[in-house]
Amino acid sequence: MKQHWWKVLGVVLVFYTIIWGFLGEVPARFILNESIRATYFHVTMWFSMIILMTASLVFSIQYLSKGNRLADLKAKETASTGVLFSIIGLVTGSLWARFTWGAFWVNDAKLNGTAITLLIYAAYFVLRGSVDDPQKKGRLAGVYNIFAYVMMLVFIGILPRMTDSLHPGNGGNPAFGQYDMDSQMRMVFYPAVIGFALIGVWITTLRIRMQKLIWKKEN
Amino acid sequence: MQQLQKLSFTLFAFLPGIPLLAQMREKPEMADLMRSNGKIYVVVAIAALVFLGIVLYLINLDRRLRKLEKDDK
Amino acid sequence: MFTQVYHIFSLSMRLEWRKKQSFIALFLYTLTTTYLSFLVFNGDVSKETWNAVFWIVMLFAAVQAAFRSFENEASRRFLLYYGLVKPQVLVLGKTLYNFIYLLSIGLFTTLIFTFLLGNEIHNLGAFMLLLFIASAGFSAILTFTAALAAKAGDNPALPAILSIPLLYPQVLTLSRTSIRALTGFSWEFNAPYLLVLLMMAGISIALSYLLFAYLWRD
Repeated sequence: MKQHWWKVLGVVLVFYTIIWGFLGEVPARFILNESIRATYFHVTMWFSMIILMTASLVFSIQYLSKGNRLADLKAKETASTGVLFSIIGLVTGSLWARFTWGAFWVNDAKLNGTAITLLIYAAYFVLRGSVDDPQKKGRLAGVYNIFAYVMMLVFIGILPRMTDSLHPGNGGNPAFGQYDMDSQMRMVFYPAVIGFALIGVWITTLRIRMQKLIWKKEN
Repeated sequence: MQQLQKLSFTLFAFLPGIPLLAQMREKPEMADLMRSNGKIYVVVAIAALVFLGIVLYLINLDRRLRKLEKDDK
Repeated sequence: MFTQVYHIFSLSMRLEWRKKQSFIALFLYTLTTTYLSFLVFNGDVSKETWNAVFWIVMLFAAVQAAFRSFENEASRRFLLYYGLVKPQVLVLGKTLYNFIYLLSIGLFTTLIFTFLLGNEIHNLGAFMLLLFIASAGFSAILTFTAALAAKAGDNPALPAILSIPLLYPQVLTLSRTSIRALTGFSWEFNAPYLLVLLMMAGISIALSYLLFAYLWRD
């Protein structure tokens, strides 16, 4: 049971998010109204995606420096869970946008950032698919992963500062402004990010273990 | 009489501002009804159950994998 | 090291010059696409359209131009290069070559655009500077992804899929900045944008310099 504490923690945190996300106090705002609670579920997807992509980057660097096949597998599977989260984030964000900004898709720096992140990681998987030799595949994919991650950071970290955005906290800051979330909301939001990220890691480890079993069978 | 005229004049002068004032005092609409009749708890229960189902599924997968890993050794 | 970089550069240049038809084909490509947009827009374009179409034509021409840079050498010459020079030197030489190539394509595209779609450029100096920075940033990313695609085998869609998403940040900033070179350009106002563009080009060059060795070894 000892090695499972983090899975329990993730589950508990997400339950906490579901309960307090609906029942807790939220600031009353025009336009957003009650939908401000979507922050706990939509924005967390996006934060978790960044966490997972960063993990994938670390594994790719590890693979390039050590050539360990397991590191490449880890890089691939964390990226694929990251893609899952970003798709969920994109779909939920689109729905939310329909009811607050009035359209499913708006020309917004952050929205574009997520869409482009998806395109980049789709290219990552296409690249993986077009090479057969596992060593070469790991190397090329790792190199592309590092390049892609940096470009993604440029896109989501710098460009929103240069352009106007409908998302909160813009005009200089890609994160949340001080006034967008009160302390009550933070008490739910940050645990929610950790909770969803841990669930993502859990899913990733399951996939990694499955692949390891397949490797064993092949040998 | 003149004072009354003055008063009504000032009132009329502020009249266009009144809707704005009313809007400022008006609170953004929140789902307070859901809260007062307790229906919000139903929503929470449903969302929690959905997530519980996913967690049970994950635990099941985890256990199956562990069994396979043990058999392999 | 610089002499080696220059050596790779001049070698690529001479190889390209020997096969003039590929060079000419690319210029023909920009000519036909520009003429297509002239026909589609009925020869009457606003500054916004001019700007948008220019960068799209430029982007696709650049992808076409650069992804051939490792194609010719696919077999024997690849190995020869690898034995002779360090991979970092090779990538810098190729990037330099692509930079010159893309810059000339950019200038040519600008010429055709002004000829067919009208002279919309208000501040020529600013536009040229943007073209210069764009060629630098594009060439770094495109050279790198061209090498990746060449190593990954012959999937014809791969170069575009790999490179275009990585180019989005640059293209977006470029088009936003260059529209102001078409209308009215203020250096003070646009300085941060130019800085961001330079930074992106710098990051791309640094990344391809650092990562190319991993990509190249077999």
